[in-house]
Amino acid sequence: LLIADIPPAALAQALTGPGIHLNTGAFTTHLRTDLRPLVDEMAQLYADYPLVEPATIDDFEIRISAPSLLRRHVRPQVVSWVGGEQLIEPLPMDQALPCLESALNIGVAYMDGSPLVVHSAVLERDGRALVMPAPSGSGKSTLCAALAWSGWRLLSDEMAVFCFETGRLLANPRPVSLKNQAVDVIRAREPRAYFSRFYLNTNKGDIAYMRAPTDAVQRASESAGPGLLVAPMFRRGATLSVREMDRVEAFRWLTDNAVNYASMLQHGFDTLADFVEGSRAYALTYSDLDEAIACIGRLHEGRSG
Amino acid sequence: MLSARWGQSDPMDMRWTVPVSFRPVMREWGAMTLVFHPLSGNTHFLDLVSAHLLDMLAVEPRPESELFAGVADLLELPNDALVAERVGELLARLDEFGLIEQVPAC
Repeated sequence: LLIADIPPAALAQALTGPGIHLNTGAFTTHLRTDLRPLVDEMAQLYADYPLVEPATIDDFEIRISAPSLLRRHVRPQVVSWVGGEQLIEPLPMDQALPCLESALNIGVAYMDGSPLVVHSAVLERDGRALVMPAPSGSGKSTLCAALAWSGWRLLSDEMAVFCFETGRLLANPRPVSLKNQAVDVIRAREPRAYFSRFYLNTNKGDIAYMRAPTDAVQRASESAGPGLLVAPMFRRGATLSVREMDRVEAFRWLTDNAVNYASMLQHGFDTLADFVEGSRAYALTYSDLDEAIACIGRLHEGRSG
Repeated sequence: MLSARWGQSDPMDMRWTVPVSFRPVMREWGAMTLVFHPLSGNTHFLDLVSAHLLDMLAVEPRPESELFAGVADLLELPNDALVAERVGELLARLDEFGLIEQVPAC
């Protein structure tokens, strides 16, 4: 059963009442909300996602609601409870969807028995992962969105999720947040891309969400092995340049962008070290998306960038 | 100076060693070695000489004189005051990281 199969009124009723068990690949979330506008926005962005039976064990639980009756009507606000705890500050009601997306990220990183999470975009081709850990402002999400429509399968725009047992990257494809210009760029490149409305003044600026490609959602149970680590840096007018990193630098890129490495102890160290040993790593500076995509394709094939 | 931290003990009676409570987890990557400290949860990036010292101490406790000689051999340098000074600094740093400690000689 997919979200798209459920009539909007029934979906809203389920979310207000017992909740739904939303599967986003590696994780299942018990989700509840009584905010009808959020239900409608979610139904569009998560149309392809399967719901699982209530008997399934959820990885975490999220509730999105107004913090109080007053805050439904006077300067309306929205808050998220992850596992019953309110971990982020209330947001304007207009940002209910960004609030949900933040809660889904937090749920993965801080749930009981959470896997190792690195702030990174992750895609896959030929079974091998392309991991792009990068800080905000590096153009990571734009490049990730473009790659997701260029023969690479989206595993996640936000987080590399490493499985301790196998060392593989788990898929958790969810909507990709993009800023104004990036939306125009991707919309021009890919007519199939669906975008939400814009959310203004979020902690990432003015953003819209791009729905994850259907193929990525349908194949969300497939993990990916080590492959490439690329640290992207968009610089307007820059000539494409590629520099190979040594293992120490690649490891630092991962730990510097890790969300919960310190609490993972030796599991985290071994997992990231194994990934680095099984991958090649590059720093990529670019200004032209097509050049960057072609370059990453060459690196994936083992050629120089 | 290291001997000052030894208090009343004769430096000749002291050994450096890897604490028995843990074994560092190491990955050698070219000229650098990554060391994970299982108790602190910290990851350290060691150069060739520091990693060599840790390797030597993982085998058995050793007096400083043996460590000076081991490093001088590794670098093919005379075992002189310069080596002793540099090794002393590196031992102090490894000690600060909690990767090694001093114990009385048996």
